[in-house]
Amino acid sequence: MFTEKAVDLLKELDRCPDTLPPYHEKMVRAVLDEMNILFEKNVEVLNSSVSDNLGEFMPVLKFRHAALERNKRCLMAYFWNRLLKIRQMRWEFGRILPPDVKSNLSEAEVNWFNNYSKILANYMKSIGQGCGLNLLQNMDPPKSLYLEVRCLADHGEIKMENGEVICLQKNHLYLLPRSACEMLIRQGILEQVVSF
Amino acid sequence: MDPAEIEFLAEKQLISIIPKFNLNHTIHLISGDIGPFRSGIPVRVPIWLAINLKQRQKCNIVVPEWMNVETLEERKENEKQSEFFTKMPNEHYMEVSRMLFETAGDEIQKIDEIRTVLKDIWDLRMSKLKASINKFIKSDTGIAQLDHLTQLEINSVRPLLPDSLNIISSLEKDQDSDGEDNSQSQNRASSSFAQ
Amino acid sequence: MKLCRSHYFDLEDILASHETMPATFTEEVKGLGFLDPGAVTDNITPKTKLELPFWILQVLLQLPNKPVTVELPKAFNATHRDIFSADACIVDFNKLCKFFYTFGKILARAKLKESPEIKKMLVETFKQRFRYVFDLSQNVETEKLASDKMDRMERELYNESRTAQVRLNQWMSVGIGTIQAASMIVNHRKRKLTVFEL
Repeated sequence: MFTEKAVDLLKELDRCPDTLPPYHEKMVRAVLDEMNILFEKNVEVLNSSVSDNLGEFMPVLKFRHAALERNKRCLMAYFWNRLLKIRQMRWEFGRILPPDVKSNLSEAEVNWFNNYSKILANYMKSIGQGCGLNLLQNMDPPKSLYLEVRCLADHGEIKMENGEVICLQKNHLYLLPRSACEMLIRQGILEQVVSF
Repeated sequence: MDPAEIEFLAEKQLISIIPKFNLNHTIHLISGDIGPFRSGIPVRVPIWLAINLKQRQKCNIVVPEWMNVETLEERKENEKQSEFFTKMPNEHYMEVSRMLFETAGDEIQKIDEIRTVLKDIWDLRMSKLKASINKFIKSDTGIAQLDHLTQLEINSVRPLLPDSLNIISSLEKDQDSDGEDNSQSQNRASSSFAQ
Repeated sequence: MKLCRSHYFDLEDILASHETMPATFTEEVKGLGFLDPGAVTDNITPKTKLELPFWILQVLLQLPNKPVTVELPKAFNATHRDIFSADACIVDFNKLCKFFYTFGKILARAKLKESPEIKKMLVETFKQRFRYVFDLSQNVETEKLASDKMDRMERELYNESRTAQVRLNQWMSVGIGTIQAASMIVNHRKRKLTVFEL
């Protein structure tokens, strides 16, 4: 049945609301092929029939056209909904995506991600009266300047704003400036320690 | 909105502290001037500063007048008697109490009793709010007036209430478009509620 | 909030319009035989009964001679409308119709002869079930399974509301929460873990 493949793409997206499933190059191509077939068949009918028996072909013409439009809508929705998630990734994973996440993106999507990253960086540089403003910081209202954190993975060295370099090792506790560790907490490398 | 954000807003309220240090000049901040500070002389400062100073043992916090068992018991009785919401002593009563309990617990007398009364008041108001929302959704009216609700209380029914109203309005409409005049203003009203 | 307005890219709207309805052809339709697995010719013969996705039926209904009559899907027929008006809360939408409100909205706007009734029923059903969704979302101790009987829209409402309630309870008991790892990252890790276990 026409449009089934396109709907399957959407069903998969719908099943994983919190993650990004791999980009299905082949399926997308198959939908595009189907669209071409639908279009060519309609052109064929229009070219071969004379205007007085056109009414007879109306139902099938209209159906194919609707199927064509619906395939288009499904593909657009597929790309658009994926882009929303990819945009969210920029805010959650940061500028660099983990390799296994990145492998789920198409080439065009990787380009889009990089361009979005660039635009966001330029914007953050331009605001804050010349000194820039990191919008990814203080996503929650800050309560203190320093946070006690536990490191969940061997992350290696990070550089502080004051130039100091700290090596983050698994299971070690650190007291770090909020600005230095907020993004790392979001990325799941550090965990904030709560004292009751 | 997150409760943390509402607490952040509540931190702007002024509170009296008794400093344990001297600072002769005024500090100019965007939100207003504070200081000078004289040891032992009460001065009004934003709560966030009071908490910061208290944590470093640079001041004592003057507990707000309403934060005592008698006053709150009275409020609780009023709330129980009244069919409607009564006015709270402070529009951020839960947030301010929580912050002071945490940092200035040593200065509040009968802190556990106060905690209990406050929780009772909150529960009373929450069940009133819940009942009136259930009634409101079932009814066909589009307007409800609820006075004296605090920001945190209003926020407790977000995003459920504004979203539900949006759903109902979209089910009632014949089209999803911005063209219709009344639907537009309705959407605006509910989306401003959702902020 | 994406909850209520359907738009061109809306997954829910597209998937809901893919829900099927029983249809009977009243006239012969040339060239559409491929829709009928039992067809012997290229055409659909009168009295053919088929279960077709809504978007296809919409095309057929818009033809000048309207060669089909449609029957409402089970969830929207007269029997179910009666059940809803008696007690909407007992209905299991997850079984009956996963996109109950979105599909219902599409039907209500499709200018069928039952459309006005469907519209009224949707609003009433939502209002009746509101309390059930509201109560469950406030009661955060119950398992997530509580949303089992809900349709997609209700479930989204429930999930959002429940998250807010959890945040509020957390704030009440321990105060301002800690900075959390982002949800996508948590999910990403969970998935990695399950792949690893397999």
